[in-house]
Amino acid sequence: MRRLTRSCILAITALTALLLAPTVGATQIRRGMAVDSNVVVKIWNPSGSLKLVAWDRDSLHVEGTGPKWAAFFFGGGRNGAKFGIDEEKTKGELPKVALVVYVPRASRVSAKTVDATIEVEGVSGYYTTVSGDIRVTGALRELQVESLRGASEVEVRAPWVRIMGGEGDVTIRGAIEDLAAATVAGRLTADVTGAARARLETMTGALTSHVAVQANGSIELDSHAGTVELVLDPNARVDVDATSVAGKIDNQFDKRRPLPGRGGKGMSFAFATDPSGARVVVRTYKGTIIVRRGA
Amino acid sequence: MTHLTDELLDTAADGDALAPTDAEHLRACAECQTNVERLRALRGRLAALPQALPTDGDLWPTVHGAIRARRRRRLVFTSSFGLALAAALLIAVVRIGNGPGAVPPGTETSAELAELKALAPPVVVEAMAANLTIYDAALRELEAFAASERENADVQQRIEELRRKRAALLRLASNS
Repeated sequence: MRRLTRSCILAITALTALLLAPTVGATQIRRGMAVDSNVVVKIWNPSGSLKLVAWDRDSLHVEGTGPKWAAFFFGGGRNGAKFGIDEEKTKGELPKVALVVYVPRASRVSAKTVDATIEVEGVSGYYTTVSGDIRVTGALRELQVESLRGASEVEVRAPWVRIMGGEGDVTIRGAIEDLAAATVAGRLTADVTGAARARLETMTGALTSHVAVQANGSIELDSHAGTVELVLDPNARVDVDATSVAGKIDNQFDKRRPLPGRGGKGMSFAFATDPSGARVVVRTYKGTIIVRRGA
Repeated sequence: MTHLTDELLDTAADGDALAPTDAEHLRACAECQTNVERLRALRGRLAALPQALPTDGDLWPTVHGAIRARRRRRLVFTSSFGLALAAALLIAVVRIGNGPGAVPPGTETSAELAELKALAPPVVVEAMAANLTIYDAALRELEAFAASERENADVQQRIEELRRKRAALLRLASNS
């Protein structure tokens, strides 16, 4: 009996130690305040993760965990708040902090990270990172995303979206009226409906555009050396003008043949399914242009 | 009231679309409107400055001829024309000294990255180095093409656009 009791005590002690282990040396963040529904929020979380969630309350709430030496700052009033990790106090080392932030749906957030991932659900704003990945979903009023090295994935309903990527891939889906996106070496893929204006650019990354554009709208695709794939629905009403200075054009949409460029360099291809349809301009320096049918 | 950042003022001066909230602010804020007008005026003055000299070909005969003409005419260098010519000659001589391409490849980028090191963390500098290398390789490629096809306006336009985008990327890095 005594042996059994001792075993039980040992087991309970071990279990308690195990349960407490992750929180030893960790700091818990839990802050909140009442704010206006259209509050402006600035967040700085260099490393770890940041999750932003829109909610239908007039308050701001932050939860998080990180190492004990991570210095968290938090301040502001009803119409503006600013919080994050105080880098000055961390002596150059970036603490990995996981933050989850709840903000009013009509708020406008500006969040910056170094390598922390950013995940956003339904919050309008400006999100920028050096090498973290960014994922944004939901219905927004406006969105601006920048990542030098990380991947960006955007699946939204929004009137205005701007995305700038470097080496990371950029994937865009949803219904967007005014869209501009660019990468340097990353692959850029857009599968978008309801566009009045779309401008997509890469330097060396491949570009695929399956953008359903409004009748009086326009699409501009541009790449220096990346392959540009223009995907058009069979019933698309478009006026297409494609030119590659030194690259090829491959028309898989119909049987028309693109023309060789001046002096045999490059190619050009122009056709219209509806001359008064949406204007589609494709330009590359040496990247191949492929025009094909979508589903 | 929070005014537009320098980057947004730049964007507005370029005539590019601002986010709806920023555009709304600009419409209502006289101070930001003045700043945008100032930027536009500055750009206008910059655009009116003499264009850079071509970077390819042997410029020495031109330079030599200019020097001889200068001696003959005893051009007064304190005049604005004299100063402009002196600056142009200096640039031409430096370019001839370095051969085609004006600035040795990578020098400009190295200087920009060195500047960036003072402003941004190493991870940003590293990411920028990779991105700028791609831009610079593309620019060299386009400049070589433009040299062989001088009438190709599309390529000249691409070069200008690429330079503008490269500058935008540097601005983005400075903000990181």
